Amino acid sequence: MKDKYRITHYLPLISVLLATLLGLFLFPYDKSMRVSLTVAMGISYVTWGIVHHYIHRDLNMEVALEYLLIAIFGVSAAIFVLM
Amino acid sequence: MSTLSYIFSHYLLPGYSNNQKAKLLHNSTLLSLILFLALGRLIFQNLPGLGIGVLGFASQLPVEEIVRLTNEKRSQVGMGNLVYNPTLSQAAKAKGEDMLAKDYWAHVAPDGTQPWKFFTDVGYKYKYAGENLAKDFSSPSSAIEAWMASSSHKENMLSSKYDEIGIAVVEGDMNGVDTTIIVQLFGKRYESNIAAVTSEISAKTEVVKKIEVEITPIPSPTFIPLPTVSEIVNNRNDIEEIGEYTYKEPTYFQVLISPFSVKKGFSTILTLILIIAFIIDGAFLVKGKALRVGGRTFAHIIFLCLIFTLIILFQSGELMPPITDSTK
Repeated sequence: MKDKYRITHYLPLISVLLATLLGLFLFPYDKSMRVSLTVAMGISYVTWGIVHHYIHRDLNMEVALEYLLIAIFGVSAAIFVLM
Repeated sequence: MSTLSYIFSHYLLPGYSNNQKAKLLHNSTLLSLILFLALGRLIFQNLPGLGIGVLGFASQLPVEEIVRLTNEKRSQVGMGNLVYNPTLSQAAKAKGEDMLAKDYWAHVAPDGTQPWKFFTDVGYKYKYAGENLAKDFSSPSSAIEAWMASSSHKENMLSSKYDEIGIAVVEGDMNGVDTTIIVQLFGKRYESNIAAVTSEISAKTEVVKKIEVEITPIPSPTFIPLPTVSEIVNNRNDIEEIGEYTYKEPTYFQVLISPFSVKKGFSTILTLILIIAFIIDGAFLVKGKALRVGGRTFAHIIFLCLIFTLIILFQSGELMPPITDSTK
């Protein structure tokens, strides 16, 4: 039961990531759209992380910063290629 | 050897020295990696100023090949080949250079200049005209396939309205970024229509004359073959005229690099290193060898794997929705 509960927490994250992937396939040569989708994905990831840890009651500044930095790294790495 | 082993374990394996979390995954290191990416971007933007030649895409985009591939696509759907027109290429070159000079990526210039002005400026009076634009494609085939993947560009390329094509590949600075633009112009000359009607009338008049005056021997027509695309492109004077990119050998101190490939490789390696570090970290957590409070390693791996996939799938190139015009 606990495992099922934990898996459902990952469903929104996986859905957002798959939606981004789909969006990038639909607009393969629209640079502004690709950049927007990548940034939106990064923001969604940070939001998911904060909400997830808030629900699990282990949210602190260090954890929030970790999600933020990983999101910034991922988005920067993708945008570095695009721009 | 022991120093190397320490560095490896300190940066990649959770342990006592790094407070049960690989140093590579610490927030301070992540911040350093972000700054490293920003620095990489800054260096890339200023490479020409440092004396390093950036290999633009133009060197890999021969006009002849773009024309050939366009006609190949037309043949596949039973459409006739487009005839390469150097005048139309001149118009394409002027359009491309205008985009670089005025820093715009659009059909209409910021000052309101319409794309059709470039047709008329070179004396090309059209009945139908169309323009396809592409930016930063690494090969002719990738640009053609991108146009074919877009229904509106495909319609322009395969349209029966056009019988001539002009191409220009221009490269230069656009908003501080080295940019390569392909301008593909389609046209059907207005004169060609008048000429067709005139020749039809002449032919009919000729028939009437023949009937009236009895048939007189007509000299056989002389066929003057039109130059092929390769003949035009191989002619250096024509190349100068249409502004096609000519490859220049690098000087002794120059190193030519492909910006897109290098940036892609750079981002891929950095992301892969982080993924590996997180997988090792995850393995330690699962085995219970590292106990700590932190982000979800599994979530980080999923996110970074997607970023890795995106970087691998990203292709160079950008399209502008096509535009057409006609005169009555």
